[in-house]
Amino acid sequence: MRGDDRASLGRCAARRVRQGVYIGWSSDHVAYPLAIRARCAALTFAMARLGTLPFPRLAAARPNWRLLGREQFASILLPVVTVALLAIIHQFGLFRDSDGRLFDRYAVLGSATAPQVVVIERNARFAAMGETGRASLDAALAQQGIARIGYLDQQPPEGAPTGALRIHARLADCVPLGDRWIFTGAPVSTGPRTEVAAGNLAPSEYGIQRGQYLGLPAAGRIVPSFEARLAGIPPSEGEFLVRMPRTQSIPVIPASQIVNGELASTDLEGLVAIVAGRQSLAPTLATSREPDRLAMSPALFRAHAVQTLATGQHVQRAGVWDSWIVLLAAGLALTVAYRRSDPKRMIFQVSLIASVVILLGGLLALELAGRLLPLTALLLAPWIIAVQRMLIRERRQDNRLEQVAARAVQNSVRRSALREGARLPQFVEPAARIAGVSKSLLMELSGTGELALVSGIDASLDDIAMDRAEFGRELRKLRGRQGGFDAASLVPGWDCEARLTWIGGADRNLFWLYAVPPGGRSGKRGQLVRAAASSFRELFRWRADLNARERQEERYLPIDEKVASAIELVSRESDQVRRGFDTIDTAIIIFHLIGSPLHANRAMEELYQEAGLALHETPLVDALVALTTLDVVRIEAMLQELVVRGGEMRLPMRELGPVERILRVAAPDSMARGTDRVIVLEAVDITDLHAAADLRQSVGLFIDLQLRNDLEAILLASDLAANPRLERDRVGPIVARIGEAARRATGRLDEVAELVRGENDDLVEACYPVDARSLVLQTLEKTVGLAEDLDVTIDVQLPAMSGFTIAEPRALADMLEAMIRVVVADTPQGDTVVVKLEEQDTQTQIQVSGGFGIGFGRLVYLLTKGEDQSVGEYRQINRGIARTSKWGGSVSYWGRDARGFGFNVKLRRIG
Amino acid sequence: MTAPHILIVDDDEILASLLELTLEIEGYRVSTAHDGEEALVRMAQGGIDLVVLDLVMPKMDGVRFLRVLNEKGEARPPVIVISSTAGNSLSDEFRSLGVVAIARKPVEPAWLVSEIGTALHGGQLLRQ
Repeated sequence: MRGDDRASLGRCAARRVRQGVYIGWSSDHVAYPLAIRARCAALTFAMARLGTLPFPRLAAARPNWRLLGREQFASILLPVVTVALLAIIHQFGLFRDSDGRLFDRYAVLGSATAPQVVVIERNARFAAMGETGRASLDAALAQQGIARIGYLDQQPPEGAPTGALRIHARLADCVPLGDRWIFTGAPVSTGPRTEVAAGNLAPSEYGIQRGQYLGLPAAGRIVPSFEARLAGIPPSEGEFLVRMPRTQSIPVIPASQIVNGELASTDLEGLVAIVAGRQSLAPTLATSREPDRLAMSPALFRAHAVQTLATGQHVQRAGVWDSWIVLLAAGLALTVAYRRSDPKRMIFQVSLIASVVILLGGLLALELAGRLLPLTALLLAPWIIAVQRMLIRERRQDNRLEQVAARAVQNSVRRSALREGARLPQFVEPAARIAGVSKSLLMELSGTGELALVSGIDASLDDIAMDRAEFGRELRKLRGRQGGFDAASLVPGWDCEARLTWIGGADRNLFWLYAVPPGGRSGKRGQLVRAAASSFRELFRWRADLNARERQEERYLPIDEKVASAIELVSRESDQVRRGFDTIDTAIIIFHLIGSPLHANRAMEELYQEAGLALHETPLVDALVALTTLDVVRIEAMLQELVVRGGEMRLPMRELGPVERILRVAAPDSMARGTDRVIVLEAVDITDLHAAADLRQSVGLFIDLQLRNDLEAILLASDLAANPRLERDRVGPIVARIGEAARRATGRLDEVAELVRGENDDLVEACYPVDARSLVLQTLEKTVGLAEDLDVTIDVQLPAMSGFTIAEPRALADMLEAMIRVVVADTPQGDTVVVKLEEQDTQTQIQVSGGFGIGFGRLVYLLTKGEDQSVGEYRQINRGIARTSKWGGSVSYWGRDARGFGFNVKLRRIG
Repeated sequence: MTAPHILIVDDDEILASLLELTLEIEGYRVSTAHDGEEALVRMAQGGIDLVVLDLVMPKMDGVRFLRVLNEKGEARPPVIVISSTAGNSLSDEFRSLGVVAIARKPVEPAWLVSEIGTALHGGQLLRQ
């Protein structure tokens, strides 16, 4: 087959599909296997285009202008923006104190290190020694092995150096105020091995002294700080944080003890000494050790600073760029972490883990790199981002719920009165009539208190025996109230029980006054009326809730309430639709485009059960394979056409039970555009149609054949009557024969007139002239399989042609089939069952005989138990026997153990 | 010269009697039978030159009658089938069973007479 031919074949098939013509796989479909692959590929592509298959090439098939969706973009951008804002805030110093406090909490818990510094107190006894004492101290410290001696509040003693480096702390000033420091009134160096260092203390942070300078920029150079010079650190700018573990102690030794030689010669070996006077030893600083009070002296603080520097434990705050890089890196890491976790369920855990990781990272940076990271900003980042994600998710959830609810409601009410609320009141009057309400008033109360009649049944507003304005006020009180109220006194003219009820409306205020139907409120009609009123109230409420945003009411209806209303409405509507669906006789099941079942009505559930199919687990293709005689390849090819082009197909259904059906498979035309994605499978019961067709065919054939006989007789007789060679006395009998033939023809027409004119309502159970031979042959076809399985031969004795027998063909066929099955099943292997059809003048006889045999009493018992109590084939025979008498026939049977048994069906033959 | 003897086999009594009269006027001797079994009995008596046969009949239908007649192996007369169920063309099976003409009812008497003449005398119409 050439490609053009195949294309043409495809177009033909498509046309048939569009026209809804039954496709019976005629000869042109033989070529299908050649075209199937290509079509399957087309189907796959079409389904992928519809977005139902997650094929990777789907993305490639469409130009992707945006790498990320709006929400994805926001989920990445927001964390970055957040950490950038945190970095800016950090840069402004807002987190400086909290970062410092975090460092303090950690530092005070640290372990002590070996003392590297000692504070020498210029006590009173030493002061009394005067200048001699100062020189002696200098010498004594040198003898003790002190490497560097720092002098606070006082210059080093004049005289020859003793070997130790003497450092004099001098205050530097910024003149004018700026970033350049100068020492005023003194040289940088005051003598051999004597240096001047900056003695300034770094400003406290919110009252807490925790940092100190490493050096200060002076003209053309950097002047080391007093502590840095004592610790022997190369001069550099910047500050460092002083560690003051609680367990760290700095010795304070009176100078007089040293001068007097009261210490062992090596006690101070290798240490650094700070000589301080009372002024520097006065507790004037609040530090991390005791942040709430001024408990530490500047000398001791400096000593801790020297100890920190000397032991290499000094820590500096992260610089500007360092902070930005660390924060942005953290932001990106958090973005990845949050994108890979469920924001609603894992947000707390992820944030907690992120905080712990940040703390550990900060600790590592502190200990290994000597940098204090922007911990406050870093610790805030995961929690702020988490909150952001929660808010985004909530917002997105709200939007989605809004859309889903709107769509669900739209679908639910698309064909209902709820869509147009203004039409709802129109339904009240018909509902009232159906419920048997004899008098009814549907009234609307306007905002200004005016009462208007919307509709009424045999009543008017004049029937109300109350002042109109007062009645309006009373009605206003009923607004929003559920249930009805006794209103017989309002309408005394009605002379019956009456009820008044508010039936709702957010933008309308409707009240229903009605006469209670006969039977009272608790009667069935009364309950029906109440149910109708309740339904109207619900519909109005749902409509009000669902339209709240559209109408921009002042009150804001939370999405959860709106969704709840939508779900309630949809589920209630779905329930009603489902119940209505179940009452349809035609078996229907709806599949999703991908072939998974969505919903089936009760009739289809029963059909599936009959076919042995699992309702919720059988894909469309498998269902069609089981329900038809077509193979998978053909079914897939047909479905391919269907989903691509829409339309419907009709397939003959496999025989299941006594009902004859065809399958209608339909898909909407808009399916290929992706708007509708359902395939409907409908098993249409054509038993009646088939019976009617059989009946018409049989009756038509009967009339045709019988009238041909009669017309033949009339033709011959009229020809004879006109024949001059016929004696005159023989003309009379010939004419009489014409009349006889005409009357016979009329009689035959009368026999089938009821059937021809369609006066018989029950076509399935109508009896009419049938071809007994064909019927027996068809029945035998159904039982051949059983006979072959049991190795039983069926000896069929039929006439070559048969006339017309009056019967109900289905019932007769079912009964004969049951008879043959019973006899075959009872026949020994290799034996024979006889099925014989004989036609007499006015009688047709069908005999089924054979088998091992069954006692007559037992047979009678089995066949006369009553239709409800018989089992299997015997029930079918029992039912057939009962029906045969209605056709003017009879059934007899006989049986004897080891002699076989049989059935004899006698029917009326009419030609 | 003895007139040819024709056997009419039809379960329709009115039709059979009218056919009988028609053929008698045409100069034939005519016998009737109302089913296949009765026709076989009459055939056994011999002297039948042609059979006019209906197909749908009780007891024994026309097709079975032809088959039984054929199974006997005796010389068989030509058969003209006129039946409501018959087609207008002659099938191989009918031809092998000795059917020389077939027609669906109703048939024109002239056609029947003509076919009988053809079957019996090669087209020469026989009249008394």
